[in-house]
Amino acid sequence: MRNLNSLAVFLLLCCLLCPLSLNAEKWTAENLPMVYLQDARRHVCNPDGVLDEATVSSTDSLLTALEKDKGVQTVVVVVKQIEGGDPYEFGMALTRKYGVGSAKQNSGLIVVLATEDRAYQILTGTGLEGTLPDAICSRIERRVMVPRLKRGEWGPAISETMKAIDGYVRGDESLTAEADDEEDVPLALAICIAMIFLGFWGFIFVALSAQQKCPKCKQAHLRVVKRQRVKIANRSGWCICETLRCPRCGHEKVVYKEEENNNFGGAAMGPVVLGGRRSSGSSFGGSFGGSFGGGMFGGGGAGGRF
Amino acid sequence: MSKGTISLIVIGVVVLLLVGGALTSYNGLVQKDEAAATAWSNVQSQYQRRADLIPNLVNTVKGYAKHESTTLESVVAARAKATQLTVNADELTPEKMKQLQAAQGELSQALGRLLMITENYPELKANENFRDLQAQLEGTENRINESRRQYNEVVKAYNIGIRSFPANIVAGLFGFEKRTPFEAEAGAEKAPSVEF
Repeated sequence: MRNLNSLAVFLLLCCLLCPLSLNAEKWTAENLPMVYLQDARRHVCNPDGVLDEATVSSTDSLLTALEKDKGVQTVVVVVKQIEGGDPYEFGMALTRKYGVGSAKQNSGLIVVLATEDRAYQILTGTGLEGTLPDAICSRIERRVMVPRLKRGEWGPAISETMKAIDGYVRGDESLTAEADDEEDVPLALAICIAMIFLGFWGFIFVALSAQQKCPKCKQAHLRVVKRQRVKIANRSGWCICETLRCPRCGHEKVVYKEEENNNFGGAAMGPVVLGGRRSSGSSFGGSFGGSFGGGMFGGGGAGGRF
Repeated sequence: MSKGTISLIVIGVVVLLLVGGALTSYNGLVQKDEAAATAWSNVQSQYQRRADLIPNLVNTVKGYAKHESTTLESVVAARAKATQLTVNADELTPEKMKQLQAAQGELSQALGRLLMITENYPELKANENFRDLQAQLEGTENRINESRRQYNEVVKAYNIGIRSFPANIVAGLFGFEKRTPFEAEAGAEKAPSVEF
């Protein structure tokens, strides 16, 4: 009898748990894919596909322009469900994990919408609280966002809300675009770049001096007097044939080198080394991954349920 | 080199290391101490922000809900009590902290009751001014929580700092004292009960 009872309890538990596991993922700050880090032009995290492509791309371009012009770094998260169901806590966890916004202006902005939790939140960085006070955020939500959310128009709700926010931010003269000065590059990254750079040149210098010291008089460096592109037997590609001559004793030496595959030489090195798509480095250009500046959030903004 | 000279050099090096270590841990403690004081003043200013919002809120509610005078009065009284109690970061003893938390907690509860009764007044709830105030109040509550969380974090770092070796010796010498963090609000640890 007892066995039967426990079996019944077990079955009941299974029944209760199964629908939960079939549901969409409950996102947390930890498991949410942050698309901005892969591509600085993407601000909208849409892992559940709640928004259509057109809304995502138009909002992305709006927010990229806003970041360029006003230095306001925005992350929009639209999901079905979040862990705990509280978009405020979720947004604050995101800010703690990523530090959205520059550390200088603290002008980060996060908009969260969880459609199945039926909850939304706008979070402003401490430097944006003057531009977008809580009351203004709340008004945007009441007048622009919530009426559309109630009709289930997720795309228009987000795009119109972001346009309204864009209007307020652009109206604030005190916000300025971030100057791309050296201070913005994190120190560790700067040191890494410097070391790679120095190491690169050091290596070349050592390699050159080791190779080109005159083997006969050992007093002067050999100089390249002739360089030819030749084809040698047994080698598939082209070779470079260099004739080196010692300016002091006149000793001559011929060297064959394999031609490098890329024609850009050293110039191509920088972007190749730095610009890995998955690197967490600073944003060097449009198509590279973005980085967050470590902006502070003090809990400003407004949110609610619909 | 004689044995004396060698031992002198060794002693010199040891003294240098000790002084250097003491200096760095002293500077580290000063930094942590300053961070805690800043975080505390942030907490205070957020409490002040909430207190500044209340007169406006009370007046707005009064216009629509004249019969709720007891609730309104309790908010005003709790605000007066809470604003009287401002504590400097350096004189923040556990007792003072308890008093302050009690006063601010009372204000939170009174405000909660006030917002609850506003549910009964649809006209008030439709008032734009009131809804703005409500948003500001919610934002301020969030800011208070966030500033308290940050304060607790830096206080924890500071308290660990003054107790770990060798900084604890320096802390004892220069009178760095343990700082008091916020306790979890009474009742917060209990899960909310649902009554039918």
